[in-house]
Amino acid sequence: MKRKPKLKLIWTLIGLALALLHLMPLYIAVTVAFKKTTDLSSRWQFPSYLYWDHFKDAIATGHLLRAFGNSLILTVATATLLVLVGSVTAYPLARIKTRLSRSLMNVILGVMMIPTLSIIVPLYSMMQQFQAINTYWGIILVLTTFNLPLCIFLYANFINTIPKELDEAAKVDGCGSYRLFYQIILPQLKPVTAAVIILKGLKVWNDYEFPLYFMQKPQNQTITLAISHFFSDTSSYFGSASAAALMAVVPVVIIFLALQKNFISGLSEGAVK
Amino acid sequence: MTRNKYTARLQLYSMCIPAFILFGTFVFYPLLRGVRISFTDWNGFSQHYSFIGLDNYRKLIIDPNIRTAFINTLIYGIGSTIVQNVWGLLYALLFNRKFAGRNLVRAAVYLPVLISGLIMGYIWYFLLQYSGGALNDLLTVFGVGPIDWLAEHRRAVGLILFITSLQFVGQSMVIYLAGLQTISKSYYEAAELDGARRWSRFIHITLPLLSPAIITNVTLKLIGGLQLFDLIVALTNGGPGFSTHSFSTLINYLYFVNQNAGYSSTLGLVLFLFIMAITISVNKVLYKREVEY
Amino acid sequence: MNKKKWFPLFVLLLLTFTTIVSACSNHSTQSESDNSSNAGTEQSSPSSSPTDSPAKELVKLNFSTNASGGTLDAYQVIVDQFNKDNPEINVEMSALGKDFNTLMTAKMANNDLPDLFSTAGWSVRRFGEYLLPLNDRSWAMQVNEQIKPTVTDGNGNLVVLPLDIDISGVVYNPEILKQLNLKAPETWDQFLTACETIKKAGYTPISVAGKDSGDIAGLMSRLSLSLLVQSNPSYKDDFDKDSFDWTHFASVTDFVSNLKKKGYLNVDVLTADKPTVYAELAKGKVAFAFQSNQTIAEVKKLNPDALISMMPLPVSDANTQPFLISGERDSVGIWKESKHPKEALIFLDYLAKSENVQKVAESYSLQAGLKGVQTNLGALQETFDQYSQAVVSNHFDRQYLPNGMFTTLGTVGSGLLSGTMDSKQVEATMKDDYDRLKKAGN
Repeated sequence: MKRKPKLKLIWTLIGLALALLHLMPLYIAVTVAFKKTTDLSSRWQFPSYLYWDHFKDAIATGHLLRAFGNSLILTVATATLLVLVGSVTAYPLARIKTRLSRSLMNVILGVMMIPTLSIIVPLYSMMQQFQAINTYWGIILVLTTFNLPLCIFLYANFINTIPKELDEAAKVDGCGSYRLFYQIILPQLKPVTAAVIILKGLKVWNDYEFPLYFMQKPQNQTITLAISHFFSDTSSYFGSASAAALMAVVPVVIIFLALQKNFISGLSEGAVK
Repeated sequence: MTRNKYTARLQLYSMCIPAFILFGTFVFYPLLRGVRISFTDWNGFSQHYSFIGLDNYRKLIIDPNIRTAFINTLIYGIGSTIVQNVWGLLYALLFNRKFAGRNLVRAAVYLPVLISGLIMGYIWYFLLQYSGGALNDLLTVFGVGPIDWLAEHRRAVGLILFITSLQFVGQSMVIYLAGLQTISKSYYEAAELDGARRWSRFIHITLPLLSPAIITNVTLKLIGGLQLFDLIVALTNGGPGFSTHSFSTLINYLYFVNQNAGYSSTLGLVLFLFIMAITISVNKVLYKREVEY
Repeated sequence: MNKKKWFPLFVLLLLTFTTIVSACSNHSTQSESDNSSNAGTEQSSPSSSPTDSPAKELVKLNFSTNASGGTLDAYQVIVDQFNKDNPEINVEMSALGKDFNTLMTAKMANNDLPDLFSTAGWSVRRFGEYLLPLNDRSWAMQVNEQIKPTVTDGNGNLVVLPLDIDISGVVYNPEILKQLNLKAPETWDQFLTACETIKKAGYTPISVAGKDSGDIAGLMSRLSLSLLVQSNPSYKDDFDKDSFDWTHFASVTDFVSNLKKKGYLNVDVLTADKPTVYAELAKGKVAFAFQSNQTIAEVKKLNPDALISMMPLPVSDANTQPFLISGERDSVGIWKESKHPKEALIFLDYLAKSENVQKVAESYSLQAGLKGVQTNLGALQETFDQYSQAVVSNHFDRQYLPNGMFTTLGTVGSGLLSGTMDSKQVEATMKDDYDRLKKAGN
């Protein structure tokens, strides 16, 4: 009984030390962002002054707001499509246990594991032919396709845990498959949908390679791309680049902190059941 | 009755159509085009190219860079799966305890997950660079000479694995934490009554009940690791030489930098078929087991 | 209960999605029709009456550049001023930085280039076929003779506006040489002797930013020019006839391996990025860097008092003269299929104004690409005067190799320095890529 508080203190200390380890890169980004380019002092050393020009520079030349808007469009549209198509595809694959459905599932899992860049050469030349480069629909469909397998996988796993008896009962009532899915299954998918949106929303928001190839016009630039251009290798722009990176993280962090509770419960009911 | 059943089945399968239209259009059709490109010396943008038969495939077999990328991709893929799962599970067990500042610590560990891997790579370069790098500054304080961290290829590959794990371990942790919450306390109470030790409780209760979380985590990490791209681009750009390239960065290099789209396409195609074959055979084994239990 | 909660959410999601999609498609079709209607009016209305502009809609021009640092700042100032002076045109500049080559390759494949773009040294051989001939511009006659051949294609068409001429050699720290009683080396033997002395004195003889394979390529390219072509004029013919024997490339690989073996290169040769090399030069720790004069300007930014200058490239034998490299750097051209050629020309003419050419050229202390434009070369003025009679050559890769080989030079250099390639492999890679890219370019 007496030893307990002491023990707890130890866990707190260990926890804080680990937290510092994970926050260390961000701390370095902060010192770099607030230092003048001519200040060659150690990156651990927080400057005695606060130099805001890197932030101003990042906002002025980086078009960060527009990039935010673009990333938001891509993320919302892709996540919506993923939820709709993912859930509807997973249902039959989870319910039917035949060789055909197994094979379809296998193909989907195969696509899931493949590095997306493996077919970038033909995909790129195809998108060109479709005139889909620099269009929102083009990249949204591509992002949806390559993120879809994991969503189907998560949905199928979740639907497996929904008792089949529910389906049977509805069928007896003369429910068709579509209505059954819509009325019986869909309402139960809320937790896994939360997990899908969180996992995939984040992935699409931070995606680098697809916007790099398919959204090349400056008007279409996403936030990751806008920041990467700041880290141009040929010049000493890392102050502005760090500033831009920090600003880009802020809204995501705010959303995360606001949704933190739903997030963990969404995962606990959705991804791990 | 049987006809009804048949139409019902058909109706069910028809729900897969949108997804398979997407896969057909953006995965399998390009794949077929890739076969054609792999027989050419196309540079990626010119209107002219010629067919060169199996030259690209022949080159693939003897190219030492392919072997490096293959080994690295396995290290990034399997390595980050193992590291992040063990590490994430440890964190989850640790931070499932009640202590002051627990939520703060969890949020801090998760925070890097929110950042793009590309940006994380650039930031880590500030830490790892030889001259003026934060880590070397620290070493100098302790009187150890500066180290060129990313120059030696094994160490560079290891660091990439470490950095991606440090960044994304928060994701594994959160999923395991969520998994732990689904385990009812009554199991442990019963086990305690039976006098089971801590370790045996972990092996016999926690681990089996976490298996859905484990499956989710392993899948997520395997995908993330096999496809690792942005961190490498930012941190080493594949160097020194070709030593830290993954398949993804190598394909990108061959296509957009080396102007060798034909060869790049060949590599992608072989990789596609290889991973597809492995995944499907692994799944077949897993499904058999699932049926058994 | 559950069902009722879920339905509105789904409808909401669907609605959001459809609005987004329709908004996007509306937007794109609208802007396209704008473009075409604009193009129509431009062709019909006589170009001499630009006064009736209020009715005109805003024309947006894309201008992509690889410029960074001071040059990018100079462009930004000019673009801002232009947009202010020309309310009916809005030039949007995008700095593609190190993604420039990747993105431009993709854009060429897509045949969808920006209205205006920098050519990054490849006006004719890479971008020539995509560029609008500019011979009729009033400034065309002013183009400096030293740069004219590099920016004129086979049919005599001037394809870009060259804003500056990038004369370069080796960047060096004269202070270190003076302190060690060395003079700027003119032959490679002298150079290596100097390196030995510098190393013993505790300085870094040569610094290379090896994380950026472009910097290694710069080193390889400069060495190749001197060791291969300048030392053996007959190789020029061999390259022109595609009959160069790549076993001769061993002289370059041996030289580089030797630099590494003797410890003349910076310790972090494989991992340093360019800002690191600038910082080391600014601290006065490095004697030589095989980089363009942009380095000098960047170093001065970090330390205005840094002593840093440029010297010609050494040669193999004492009978030949050390020489300088002259190439295009900041050149801007117009995509010939641009929807707004007229507006693009207005901007280009604006860019060609003396004060603007001066701004861009001076950002890195370069000579202007147009005659009659004086640039303040600052501390380098003396150096340029000193070497005004020096032999000048185009860059090795731009003159003798097919487009795309610059990255190969970087790759083999990086392989060599990291020990993952030996000289045989380097030779084979150079030969393979040369043959392949030569074929693709024809």
